[in-house]
Amino acid sequence: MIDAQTRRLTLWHLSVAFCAFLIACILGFYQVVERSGIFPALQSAKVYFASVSTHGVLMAYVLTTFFIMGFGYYTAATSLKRPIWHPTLAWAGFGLSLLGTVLAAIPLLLGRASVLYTFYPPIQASPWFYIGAALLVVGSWAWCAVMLVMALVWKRENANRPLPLAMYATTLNALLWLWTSVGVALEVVLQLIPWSLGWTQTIDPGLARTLFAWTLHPIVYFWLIPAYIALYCFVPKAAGGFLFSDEIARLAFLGLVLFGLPIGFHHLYVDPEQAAGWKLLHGIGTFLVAIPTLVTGFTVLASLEIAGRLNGGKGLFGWIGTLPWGNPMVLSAILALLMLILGGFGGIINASYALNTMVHNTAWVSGHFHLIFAGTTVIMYFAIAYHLWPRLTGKALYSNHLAPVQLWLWFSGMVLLSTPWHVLGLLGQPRRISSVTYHSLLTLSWQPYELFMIMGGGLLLASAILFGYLLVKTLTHSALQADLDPAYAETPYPHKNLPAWLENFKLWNLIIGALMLLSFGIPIAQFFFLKTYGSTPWGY
Amino acid sequence: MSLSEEEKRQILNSSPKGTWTLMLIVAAGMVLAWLFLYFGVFLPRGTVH
Repeated sequence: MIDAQTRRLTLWHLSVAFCAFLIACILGFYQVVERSGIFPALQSAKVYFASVSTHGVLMAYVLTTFFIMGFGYYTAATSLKRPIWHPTLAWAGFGLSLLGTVLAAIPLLLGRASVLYTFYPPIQASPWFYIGAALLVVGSWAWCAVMLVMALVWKRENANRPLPLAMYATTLNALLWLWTSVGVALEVVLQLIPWSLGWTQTIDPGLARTLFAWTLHPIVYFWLIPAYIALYCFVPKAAGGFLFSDEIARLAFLGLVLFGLPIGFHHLYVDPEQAAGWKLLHGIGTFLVAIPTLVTGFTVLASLEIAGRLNGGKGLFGWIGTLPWGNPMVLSAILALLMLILGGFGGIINASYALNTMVHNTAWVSGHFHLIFAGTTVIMYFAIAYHLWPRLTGKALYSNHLAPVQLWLWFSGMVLLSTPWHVLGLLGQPRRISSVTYHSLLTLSWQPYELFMIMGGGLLLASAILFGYLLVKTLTHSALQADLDPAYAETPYPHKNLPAWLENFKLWNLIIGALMLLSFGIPIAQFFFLKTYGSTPWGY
Repeated sequence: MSLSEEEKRQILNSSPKGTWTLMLIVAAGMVLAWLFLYFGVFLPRGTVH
């Protein structure tokens, strides 16, 4: 049973998230068509970059932040079995984030913030864009505070019991986001806002890129952790089995937070402002963070194997066929893992110093992050939405048959979109371009791949519309149903003595602080004791 | 199909052999694909001129 306050909070957050998602999908389809050059009437660099900036901001910041906050409130209330702490603070965070989104959206849509979602200076946007982005982040800090206080209060009252796994991961994600967002917050508040308001004439792009690198990689784990929560906490039960190991799951979440933070310089391998030694350190960290991802793949697959065998599956792979493929949660998990394998491989190539030079700033990179984010992460967001919607609205999902169709459409579209994107990168197509029609032999060879990408984009848009249709129809047309339990997965045997250090958040904070100081201390400090040069703005 | 308690117990206590095999296949595939990109695509392109 979920209390009315939590229902409202979660529903409002998810609704904002999915509205942003639908708008971003429409823009995404326009972009893939425009960039192909097949329809010359559509060609406009100005509109394209305004669109791609809005698409990136809506997907990477608005969809994710609102979804994660909403899902966090649900997880906290249902796993701890208590109402949300300080709902006024939670609503204030929501309001602030929404205000920030609107403030940033206006210049984006007017073409006065066409700086892409990375907003690297010296390209300059309207100050309202930066102020809006800052408010969105500050609003999310209220969510972090609510999550941390709820976990700590529960722990104080239940000293001998471990935090429920879903809440353990949510608490770590709140901690991760507080650390992660500091880098971009410093960049926006100390550099970009004063510069865009004309208070400073120049900006140091090296320092800005270093601060953004602080945020740019761990933000991916901020997005991924809710997907992993569903993989560990919902999928095993939906498949008819048990979670293979609660302890391994906790170690994986901890590993993501510890190793995910100090590794951002693999985005700066080709940048001149950081020395090779620092890049090597961050590169090693990047390979380390693959471990909790591999562990997650193993644990989730093992949980599915248990379920498949309990369903009657025999032999080495016979359990795969006996899984309930029609269940949206299980189907999403399988498709998410498939895309994680492909995207994870791309990530290993990006992290490899030499190979990175081959794909740096090419279409490969866009293909890679679409596969990890819009593939693995977003398909699990769909699964969570299908899981939560009946529990939040009190109504049965409008169609249990159309949900798997929507998920297959998304998967097929993403494979059709991102595979040619990777190939185009290897063929030398740069990223961040609005047109590919240079009429040379090289660019002519790109055309067939562009066609496949348009087909992929079309399938993705169709899938997004079907997703929105299912949620709206559930709200407006479905029959009422009895309250559903949250359906958290259990382990076959309850754990007896979970090590206390796993939940020693003070200790992990200190370790993260030490790791961040080690990996970012001198690289940031150097800008204050070396003579560096600022750049004047260019842009709208 | 319904399983006996003993069969269920065996499933819960046995090693996930199918998962280990899949993980090995995926890991081997990744190593091979990495080697292909390094030796088959990256090195043949030569140095920057």
